[in-house]
Amino acid sequence: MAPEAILVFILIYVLVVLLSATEMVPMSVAALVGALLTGWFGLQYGVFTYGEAIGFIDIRLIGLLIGVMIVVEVADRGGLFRLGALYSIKMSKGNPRILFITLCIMAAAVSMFLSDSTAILLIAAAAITITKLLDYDPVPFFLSATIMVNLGGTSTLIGSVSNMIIGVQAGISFNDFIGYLAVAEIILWALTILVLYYIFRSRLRKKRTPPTYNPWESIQNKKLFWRSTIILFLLIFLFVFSDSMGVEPEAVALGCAILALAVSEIDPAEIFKRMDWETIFFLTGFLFVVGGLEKTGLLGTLSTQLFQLAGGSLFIATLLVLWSSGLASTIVSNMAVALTFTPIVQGFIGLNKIPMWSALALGTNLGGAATPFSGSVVIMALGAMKKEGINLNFSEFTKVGFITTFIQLAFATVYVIVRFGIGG
Amino acid sequence: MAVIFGVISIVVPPLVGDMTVPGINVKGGFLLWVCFMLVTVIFVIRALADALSLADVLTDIFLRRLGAKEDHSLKRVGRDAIYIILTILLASAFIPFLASVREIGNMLAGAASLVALGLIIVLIYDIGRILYRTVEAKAEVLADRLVKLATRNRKKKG
Repeated sequence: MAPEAILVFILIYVLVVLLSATEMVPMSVAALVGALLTGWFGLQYGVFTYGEAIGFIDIRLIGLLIGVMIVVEVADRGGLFRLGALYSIKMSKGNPRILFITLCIMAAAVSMFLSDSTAILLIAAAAITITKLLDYDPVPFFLSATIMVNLGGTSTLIGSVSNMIIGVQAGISFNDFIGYLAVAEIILWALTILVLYYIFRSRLRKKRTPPTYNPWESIQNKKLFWRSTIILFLLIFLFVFSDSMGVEPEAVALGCAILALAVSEIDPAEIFKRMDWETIFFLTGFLFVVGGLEKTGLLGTLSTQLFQLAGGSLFIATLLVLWSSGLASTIVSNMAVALTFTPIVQGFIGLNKIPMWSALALGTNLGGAATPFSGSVVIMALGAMKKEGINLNFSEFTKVGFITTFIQLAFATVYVIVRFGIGG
Repeated sequence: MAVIFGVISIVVPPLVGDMTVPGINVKGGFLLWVCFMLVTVIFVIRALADALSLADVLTDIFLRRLGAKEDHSLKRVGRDAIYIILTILLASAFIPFLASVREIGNMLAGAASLVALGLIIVLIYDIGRILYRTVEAKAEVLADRLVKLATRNRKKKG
């Protein structure tokens, strides 16, 4: 292949990453522009045919994403997540330290099902209400909730879009994903809350009496609440047994989504309007860009070079994947990092890929809240704080974000070594 | 002025070339050549400085038209890099089509290449300028800190 063709594809990739990172245009537009240029040059240079180009878009991944989004959107409208948040706040009885820990756990738990952007909006609303009511310093609550939302769902196939990418492209089932990473996630929750508590301990002292309220009163449509909750749990149940039933995760997700639309009695147009189309279009466009880059053979070469750099050692290769994906995710969207690293890891022929897939899932998830530029969840949280008149400068966030991310990645390093026995 | 000096440099040296300047014992031609070189160097430096200020203003106007709102921030460097990549990609995409136009194709392709090259030079100049200012500002802060440190040490010793 002509070197200029390879250079053009590298430039397209860099262009999409820069456009997304600088937020000059929405990230979906950046990826779609990249897809257009990839298609144009790919056909012009004869890198791929039109038929091959259509195959770049992983319809299984898009199906899984859309299916989960619909089910979760219906459950959110039913009020399940709001009810959970209100209950956990009530349980704290106004003690700022208990409230802090409860909110952190709630943020991570909600994020296991909801997309990060939806989860942060929900938790931000709860944090604003409670800190205003009890006159607490909102910064520790907001900042910690943001970091925990990013962390939540690291061990589940549907916990984050980067996990869906890894799971679908690597063929890892829902149960296997949990099996490889659940222990890591539980310890990471505890470790991160501990670190955040230590950082903010001096700002969580005064105790106030909370107002009494009944969380159930927040549920406006009880019928919708029960129906949507049952469908969400059915989705999780089917995910767990999809392997033994021989059903693919995207089929389960789409099936439950259709069921949710059919029984929720909500106008489907309203559900579709509230879905995160930005993510869907970004994913579609970026799959195309990475597909083109893969066709040039560049990702294969990169994979071979990384393999040589690791000296064929699974230990070094896994740590390389963990830290490079983690650090890359602090700057670039973790979806882009997952899409780029997936073909690279697939190129490590002859090595057990499970530790590397786990390292990639950990790296892409943990790197997402190191700086205000790491991902949309941080930007949204800072935006929500600014709207409420709470000023948090970027350096304060970066300081806390970097400390927690570094500790999380350090723990992840130990975890993959011990869990997969790759140390010696 | 440059023309006048050019004329002088042609006319005067033959007249005074062999003459020795009393007191400093140097040939008149050599002295004139030294003076001429000095004036030329000063002119070149001044002209470059003026050209750079003009280039600064023109680059700013041009980039603002492209949508750059940030004043010399590192974000603008990212934006410039995006424009450079876009220019290269768009030029690569369209030049083959322009070249295929009958009779004037080569001329059009050449003109498009030149425009793209000019645009890239302006953007690279903008990146260089911003990076220089950033480094300069950091160096000034560092120098201030060192001065403060030195003053404090001197006070302690004194």
